[in-house]
Formats: sequence, C-alpha cells, structure tokens
Amino acid sequence: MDQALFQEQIFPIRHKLYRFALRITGSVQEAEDVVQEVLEKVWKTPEPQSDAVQNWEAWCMTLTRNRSLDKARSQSVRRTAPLDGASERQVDGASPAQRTETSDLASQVKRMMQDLPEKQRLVMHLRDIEELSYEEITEVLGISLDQVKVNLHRARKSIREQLTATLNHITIPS
Amino acid sequence: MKAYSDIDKLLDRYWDGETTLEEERMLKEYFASTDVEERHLAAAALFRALREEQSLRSNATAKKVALRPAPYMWAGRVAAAAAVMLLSAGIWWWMQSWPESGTVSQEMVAQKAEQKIMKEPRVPSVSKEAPLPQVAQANVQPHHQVKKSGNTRLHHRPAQDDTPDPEAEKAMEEIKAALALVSSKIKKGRDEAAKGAIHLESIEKISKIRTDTDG
Repeated sequence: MDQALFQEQIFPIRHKLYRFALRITGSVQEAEDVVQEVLEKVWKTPEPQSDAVQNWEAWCMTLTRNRSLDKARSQSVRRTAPLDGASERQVDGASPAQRTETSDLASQVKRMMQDLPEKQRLVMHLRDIEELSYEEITEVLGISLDQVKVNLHRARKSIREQLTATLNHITIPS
Repeated sequence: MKAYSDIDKLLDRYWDGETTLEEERMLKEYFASTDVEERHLAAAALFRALREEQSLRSNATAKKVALRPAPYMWAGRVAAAAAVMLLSAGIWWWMQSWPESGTVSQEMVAQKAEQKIMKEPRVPSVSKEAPLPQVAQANVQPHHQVKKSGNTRLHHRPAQDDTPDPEAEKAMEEIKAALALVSSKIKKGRDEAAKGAIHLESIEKISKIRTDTDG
C-alpha cells in the first residue's frame, strides 16, 4: 500500500480500531494486538487489491471485528468488568454531588453496554461511540439495515431501563 | 443550543433509535457542557460514558507498522533473485555434468575393451582336436613339416599372423559393446511392447464382456 495513503487514512483511525477491538475482546492487550495486526495487514495489502477498497474505515473496522472475534472466541477473554484506560472527565457545570453520581452511573453504563448481547453491543458501539452511519454499520457487521436499527433500538432501550432501575434504586432510600 | 423541551423530544427520539448522527452529536454536545437536570440524569450518565469511551487511545505507533518497507515489495525481488540463482546453478550443473559423463562412459568402454584384450592370449587357443581349415593349413605350414610330422596340428604360426592388430581389436570390442547396448535396448522395448499388448488384450476382453452383458 502507498505510504502516504496509509499515513493519511489508515493510521489516524487506529484509535477507533482499538476501541472496537476492546469492545469485542474486553482486553486491552488483546485489543492492542488486534490493532497492530490489522494495521500490518492493511499495510501489506498489494496495490491492485487496495485500489479496489472504497471505504477504508469500514474495511478496517471489518478486519478488526473479524480478528477480535477470533481472539475472543479462541481465548474466551471477554470481560464484564468496565473497560480500562478511560480518562475521567468532569461534567462542566454540574454540582460535585451530581458529578459523583453521574461518574458512578457512567461506570455502570459501561458495564451495562459490555453486558449487552453481541449484536446490540457492537451496533451501539459503532453508532454511539464511533458515529458510523447505518450503512457503514451494515458493511462492518455484515447485517441488514433493519437488523442494525432493531439492535440499536433494543440496546438503547435496555440501557435506559437498567439506568432507570438503578436511579430508582438510588433515589428510593433517600 | 437547543431548549430543554427540544432536548426532551430529541432524547425520546434517541431512545427509540430514530435520531440522525447530527442530532446525536447535538445531544452529546449538550450533555457535555450543561448543568444536568435531575430528570436527565440517566441520559447524562450515558453520554458521559460514551464520551469517556471515545477518549480511549491506542498505543500503536507508526514506527511499528508504517515505517517498515512493505514486505511484498522485497518479497518479489527475493523470489526473482532466487529463481535466477537456481536457473544459473542448473545451467552450470548441466554444462559440467553432461559432457563429462559422456567422456566417462566412452573411457569406460575403451578401458573394458582393453582389459578384455589384455586377458586374452595373443595366440588364439585352439583345441587339440580341432583341425585347422585346409586353406589356412596350406598357407601356414610348409609342405616338408607336414610331411615330417604327419601332423596337421598347428604348433607354430608365422610371426605376422600371431600378432593381432590392437587397434582393430579395440574397435571390434567397442563395436561389440555398442551392439550389446543396442540389443539390450531393443529387448527392453520388445518387453514393454509385449506388456502393452497384454494390457490391450485384457481391455478388449473387458469391453467385449461389457458389450455382451449390455446386449
């Protein structure tokens, strides 16, 4: 592959690939390995084949998905714990109590997302974190547009219900 | 920035999975910068989690991947060089071995023939009972000796007849060796042809049996 193309289009999306791999494998090390392997694979792609690729990002995400699923299935390393390495940001304008509350809730949301069924988890990740269009998601996951919409709806609904239940649980004693 | 009422509507559409990417970005922006109302705590927690997830970074560096030359670029060159080397080695081997092996075989034939000549006695061994042909006898023996001994056996031959021509002998041996080789080849070919004929015959039999069965 052309080095300029790699530097301009492929390398900048490495963080997306990493997050997606992390979502699937649940392991920081495994995710880093997947990113490395995918970048190398893309870099080694011969010119005629690379010329045929229309959407590099979707193609790389598909490679990442396949490689991550292979790793996750072979080593059973999927974790249900919250993802590591997240930088803690404070919500601007929120009171200290609210910040603590939303911070705790945010951690719980991550766990909830990680515990979703695989398709819902991946669709929600690609849409809400990586901001892919529905069409791009169908390409990456190899599912229909309807399936993308249904899984996204179910995923958000599940998170909302769990969050509502958690908030009710918190507010009832107080 | 959208009014709270708009945010509520937008959130409802978000939970139902009906928002566009643009609208979802607006929601993210709203919850990242504004004081959160209590009724929006669930959404605020979700969008905070999403923001934190978006901030995750890979440790992969360009040095590890992109700055290395692509392997396929030099792999082709290595393959081409290996092919050229193999071809050269093959030609060299062929040029070295082919004429040398021919010389060796010729030398071997000549040597063998020479050894055979050396082993054989100079004077042809003739059995005591075997009479010489009359013509030869007449030529080689003086009349008085025949008369004196009354013997038709050959005891002494003239010097010129005793010494065989070595070159002629050698040539004869070479011809014999060549003929033996040709003969063995012909025999081998004949055997192969016989095998083929047997095989052909068996095929014909099988096909005949099949034809009879079908008929």
